[in-house]
Amino acid sequence: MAEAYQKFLDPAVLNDIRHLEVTARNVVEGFISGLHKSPYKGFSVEFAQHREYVPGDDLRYLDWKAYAKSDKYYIKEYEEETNFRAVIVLDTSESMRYQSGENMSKLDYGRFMAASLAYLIQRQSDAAGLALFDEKLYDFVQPATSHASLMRMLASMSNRKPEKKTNIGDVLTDVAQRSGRRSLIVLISDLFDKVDHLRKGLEHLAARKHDMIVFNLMDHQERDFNFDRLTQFVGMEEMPQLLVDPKSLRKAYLEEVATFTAETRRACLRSRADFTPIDTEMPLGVTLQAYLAKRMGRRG
Amino acid sequence: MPTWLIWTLGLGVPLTAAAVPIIIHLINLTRYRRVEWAAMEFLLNAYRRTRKRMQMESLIMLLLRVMAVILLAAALFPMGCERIKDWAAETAGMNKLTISTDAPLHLVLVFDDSASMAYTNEGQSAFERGRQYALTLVESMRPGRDRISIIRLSDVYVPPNAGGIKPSDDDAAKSTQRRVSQLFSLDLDSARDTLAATSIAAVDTNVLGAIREASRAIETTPDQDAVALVVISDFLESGWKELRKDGSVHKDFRDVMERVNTRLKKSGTTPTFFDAGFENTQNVAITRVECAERVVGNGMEARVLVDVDYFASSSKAESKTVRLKYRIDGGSERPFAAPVTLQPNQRVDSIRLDLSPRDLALKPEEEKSGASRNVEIFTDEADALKADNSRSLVIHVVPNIPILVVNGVPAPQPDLDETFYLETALGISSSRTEESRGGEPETRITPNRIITMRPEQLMAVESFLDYRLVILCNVAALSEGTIAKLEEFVAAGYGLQIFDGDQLDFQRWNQDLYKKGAGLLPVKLKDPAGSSDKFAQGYELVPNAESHPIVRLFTESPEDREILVGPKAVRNWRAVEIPTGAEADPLRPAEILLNLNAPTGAVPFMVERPFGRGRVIYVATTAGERWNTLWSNGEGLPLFLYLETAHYLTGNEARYSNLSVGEPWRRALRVADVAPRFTIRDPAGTQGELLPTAEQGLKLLEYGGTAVPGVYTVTALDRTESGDSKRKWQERFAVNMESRESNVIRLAGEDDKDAEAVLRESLDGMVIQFQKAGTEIGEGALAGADTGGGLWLWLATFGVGFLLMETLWSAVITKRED
Repeated sequence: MAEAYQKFLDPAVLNDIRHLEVTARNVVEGFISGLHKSPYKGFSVEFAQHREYVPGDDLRYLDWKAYAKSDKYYIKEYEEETNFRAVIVLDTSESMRYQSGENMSKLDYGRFMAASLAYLIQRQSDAAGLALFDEKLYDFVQPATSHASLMRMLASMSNRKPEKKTNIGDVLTDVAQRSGRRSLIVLISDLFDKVDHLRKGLEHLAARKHDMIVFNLMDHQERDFNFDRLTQFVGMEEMPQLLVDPKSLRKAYLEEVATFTAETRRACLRSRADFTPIDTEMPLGVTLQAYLAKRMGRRG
Repeated sequence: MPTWLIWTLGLGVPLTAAAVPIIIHLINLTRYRRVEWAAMEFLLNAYRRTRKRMQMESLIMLLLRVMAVILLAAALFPMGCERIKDWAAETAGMNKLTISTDAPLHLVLVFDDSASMAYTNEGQSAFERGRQYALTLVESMRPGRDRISIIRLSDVYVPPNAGGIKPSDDDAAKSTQRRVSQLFSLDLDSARDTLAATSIAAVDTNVLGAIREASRAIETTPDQDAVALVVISDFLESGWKELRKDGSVHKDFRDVMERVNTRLKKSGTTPTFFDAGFENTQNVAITRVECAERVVGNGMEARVLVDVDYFASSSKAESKTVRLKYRIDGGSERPFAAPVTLQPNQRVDSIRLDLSPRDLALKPEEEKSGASRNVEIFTDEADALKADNSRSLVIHVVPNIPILVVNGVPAPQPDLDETFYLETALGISSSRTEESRGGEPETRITPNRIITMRPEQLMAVESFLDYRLVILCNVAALSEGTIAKLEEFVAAGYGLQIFDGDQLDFQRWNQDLYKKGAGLLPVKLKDPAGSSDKFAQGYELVPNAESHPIVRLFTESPEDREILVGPKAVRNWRAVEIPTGAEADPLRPAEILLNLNAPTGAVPFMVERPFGRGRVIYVATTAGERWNTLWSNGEGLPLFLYLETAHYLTGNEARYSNLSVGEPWRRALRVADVAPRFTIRDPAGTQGELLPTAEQGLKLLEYGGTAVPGVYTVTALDRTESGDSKRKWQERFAVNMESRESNVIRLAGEDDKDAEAVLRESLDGMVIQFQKAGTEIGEGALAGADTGGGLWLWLATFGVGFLLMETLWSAVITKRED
């Protein structure tokens, strides 16, 4: 367990995102009024500690008394700020195994993302859960705020070998049913499935008022297709193989990728899900920072 | 190599080569990478959409590669064959020409045997390099079948003072006469002998003329014969500059070469230029030796003017210091002038050697006939081009120069006599005495001997050939017989000076002597002009032809100029009309030497026009003071002007005393000169007979074999009663190397292009072969054979480049991805 912890909780990554907070695009019902906008404003919560103000903090939580005494800005933190629930849905199908050159595989990248997000969410005293899937949903960790829950999630991610096909549509339907209350569903996947299946799954989640973020993970080579010499491509997930000169095929391939990305983006928008393409060549921290900053900008 | 084998290999090699890209393609199909791929759906969709186009591209690429290899093999193979043949020939001690044909081959060889080819480096001259190459070519041809035409530059006439470029019809005719030997269609043995016997002719380079001759030889080659052209030269700027793209005869050169090339293409050959020259050439040369006095009489001083040039292909060459020496008639060497230091491409001109009357004095036995003196000027050490380290100058020393002055208005009083002052001026003696020269005999200024006649006495003159110059002064008219004799006299090369005046019946003169531009009179006469007031102030003279030898005397310094333009002494003059239109003859143009600054503008005062080999000068005023006050108010002007004019006209003959190589020597024979036998001895001591010829009633001696620099001696021999030969008179003339040949600067263009680049630019678009001495291994390219020329070469280059890029690219990719 300790090994899994070390592996996925990269201190550098966590440090990068330390001062950022996950914000929901829409108002999410929560137990405690706090950082997230809540219909239950006025509920008293137990004060936990002070922390130093950083730019971007909501001034409503600035401790003016402490400022008057010490001439420093402090933010009051509460034990339970919200009953925000997040379920991280990670694709572990065979296609996620792909990696080019020195890059980490999409699956490893997804694991880092999932672990980092889970840690971040729990650090804010929100509840984070995990769903792992390939052709079906095979592991589901209910959202919780406990450290034990985080450890379990990390352990689940490190156990499964990627060897099966993707079936996003059914999996998302299953997640929608299991998640119960309104939650933030974070999908991390290469989305190599029929777009219609994705649309169907997202629609199910949207119907249950879940908020959704879709991270479309792809390897740099999958986006750029920059091969030089004659290559035999052996398909994953039971796809056929193809011997071809990649140079002459590159333009058409990139058009296919662009079409896929556009259709996926449309499907996400339709279900009011945020869609973010992620390149595994990008540093993980930068990826999360960019995304979370974007989310904060939409706050309110 | 048997023809069937050449054909078999010729087809087999390209076809075999064509298989190479296909094999490479098939091998490459087995050498692919294997990659597990997740986004296979996209790849399959893309493949389905582009499959047909990809297959087509792949096929085209393969075909291009096959084509490139075939073209490369086809382009290189014949050359390869030639290499094999060369190798085989060398192994067998032979060297074969490379025309792959069974047709008889006519090789036209343009061989530069000009003086500059004597340039020597490390013991070998450019001439030897060229000859060696030419002999190699001859050796490689098939005896009994092939033939050679050799065109040596020495066979092509170079018109004097025309730069040797564009001969007129007259010059072309001379060229035909001048050609010392016809060398067309020689068999191989004769060609070999001719080349072996050919020596440096020291002539000027006339490349265009030679290539025109070559063109004639090529175009007259029967169609069924193969023909090839090889030009061997040292490619110096002096000979080739005008043929450059920016040169004056570039168009002519190109036109001729295009005609040549059209014929050569039928034989599958390309023009070959062999560069026998050297790089970084340097040469110090004596480029001019001239006697300042046009006529040297016994007892006169003479000034010899010497120019020294330093030619260097590189402007960074070291400076040179030379010391000049001279000797007379093979006597002892004497230095003169201070040592001369020259920078690259610098000329030091008019270095002066003063010869005293004693140096040139006639011996007692020569006092009647005169004699020639050979003054040899040379540098103290020889360089790479020895021929121009010395030059000879022959000075004719005459006992006197008989000048006939015809006085149209004789008078007892000097002031009124038409020629009194003129006679005095022309016969002037030195004022220096024996004492003033420290024991030297009195120095004469002029050797003129003046004979005066009245016009009516002219009827009694049988021939004017006993005089060197005739001066007509205010002569009313001349009889038909006198005019005919005068025409004969001037045409023979002597001088005539005409002074105008109030006695002239200008209409008769126009009719009898102008003859609508065909007669002796240089201009058409009109009415006299000017003031009738005897005491009216006159007008001044202004120079027109500043470089003319007579005018130059007055334009060399402001003081000299003041002598000419200072006096306002010409009161009356005759209006004249310079020949134009049909009356003008471009071969003998009228040249205005001096103008009179008249109130109506400049009017011609002194006009020269050649007639035959001689010259005529017309003066628009009187010789005496009837129309001017030149003698009394001219501040010495008429003395200098008329004396100089007389020397100029009498010195006309002297131009045949000093010739450039290839220029014919001529001499008109006066009655007294005629002898039963004439001989000529060349510088090598070889003696031959000279037969007199006749032209326009004149007896002439002519000699065209001036191929070698040095001093030639002509002797007239009388027969004695006993039947032996006795020398009647003897005359020498010097032949020197054309000074242009001393310029050994290599042909170059803008941006320091070398000779080959300049030539290729000049013949832009034409396929030629250019070989440098020392790289003759590939002389097979002489024929260019059927190697295909430029197109094939470009295709081959493309093929090589393409394959190289492909190979490198593949190598890089393989390294990176494996």
